[in-house]
Amino acid sequence: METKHDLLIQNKRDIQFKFSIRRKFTVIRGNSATGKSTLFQMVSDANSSRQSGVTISCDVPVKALYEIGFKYELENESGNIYILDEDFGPLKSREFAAKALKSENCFILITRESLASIPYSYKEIYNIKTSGKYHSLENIYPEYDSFHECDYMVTEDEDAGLEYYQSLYGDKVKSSHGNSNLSKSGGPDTLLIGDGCAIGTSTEKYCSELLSDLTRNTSAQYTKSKLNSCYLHQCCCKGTKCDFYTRSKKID
Amino acid sequence: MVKVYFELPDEEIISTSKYFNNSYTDDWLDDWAKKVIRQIDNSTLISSGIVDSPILGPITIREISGGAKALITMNSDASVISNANSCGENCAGLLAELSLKKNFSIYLSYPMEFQAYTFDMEIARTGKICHKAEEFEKEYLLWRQNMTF
Repeated sequence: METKHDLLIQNKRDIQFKFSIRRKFTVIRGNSATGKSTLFQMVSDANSSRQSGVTISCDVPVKALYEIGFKYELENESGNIYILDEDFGPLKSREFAAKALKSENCFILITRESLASIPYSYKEIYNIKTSGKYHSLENIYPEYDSFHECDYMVTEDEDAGLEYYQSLYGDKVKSSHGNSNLSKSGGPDTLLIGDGCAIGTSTEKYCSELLSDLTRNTSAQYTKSKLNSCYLHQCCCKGTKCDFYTRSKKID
Repeated sequence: MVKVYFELPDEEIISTSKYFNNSYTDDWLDDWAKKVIRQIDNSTLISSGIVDSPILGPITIREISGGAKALITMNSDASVISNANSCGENCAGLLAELSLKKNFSIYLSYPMEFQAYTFDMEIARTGKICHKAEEFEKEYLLWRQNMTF
């Protein structure tokens, strides 16, 4: 789920945090003493009293989330941005993940822990960049814009996705049989192929369903269980990879 | 020697900031604490419980970083397994240094980069002893990814 909210959080002592969030889950980690706890504390102060000296500018409410009361908040509130600090005990729990995923809120998670149940993208993992009293976010991981074939390759998919990569790179591509096993697969020289969103269930499910709907009852019908050869072989008169969609669903 | 737990039951994982704020005594604010606050927070412990921060100005000891609180707890309180997940990579040097002087335990579930620092470390789950980053990383990966080398 993509979204975009611009946040400006500042106090009367000119401590300022200015950044944007682009997905449901944003993770902040990095060195100690960069302002993570200060950010959380300022949001917490702004929430807890009317004249706190902290102002928050955003198109939706920005709130601190605490262990006490988080279940009620996530079950009953929507349209908020919640910020959680590293002392938030339930962060790694399945219960929190389930409620957060189901809720219609965004989350800023201050943690160095790996959260297997939360679908956050590597593109939304940030350090706090500090310039005096001014703070912003910077990506920890670079964007990967090219794909390099490796001697060992593992994909989280075991059906159509595996078949697709094997058609391109042969038997060197194995399946980890699910996203939760992906990080446990292979060795130091293995290329792991997963959804850009760490778990990716929502994106993958959406894309699979969309593709299935678009191709239903055509010879290019997509199913996740077995990859239609239409997606593997050159099949149109233009001599390119199947450009089914540019030809008004007509296949020669 | 630092004993490292990659996993702990939830009830044994301390909330670094809250634990520190409700546990520290004047004894904790010793030369080690001064060093930690200087190196990690780039601040100065100027009197008991008061810290001069270049960004925040005068603050109380309760407002120092989570990483600094964790490193001070490791040195001063042997009764708990300190939560080193509160420590960023910039705490690795002091953590390594402390491990050469004291026996303490930490919970650390992320692959902290120890770079060229040497340390005395026991991995709780295997009993393996590590002294350098590659040894720690191998143990971490074995736990995390069930990899074979």
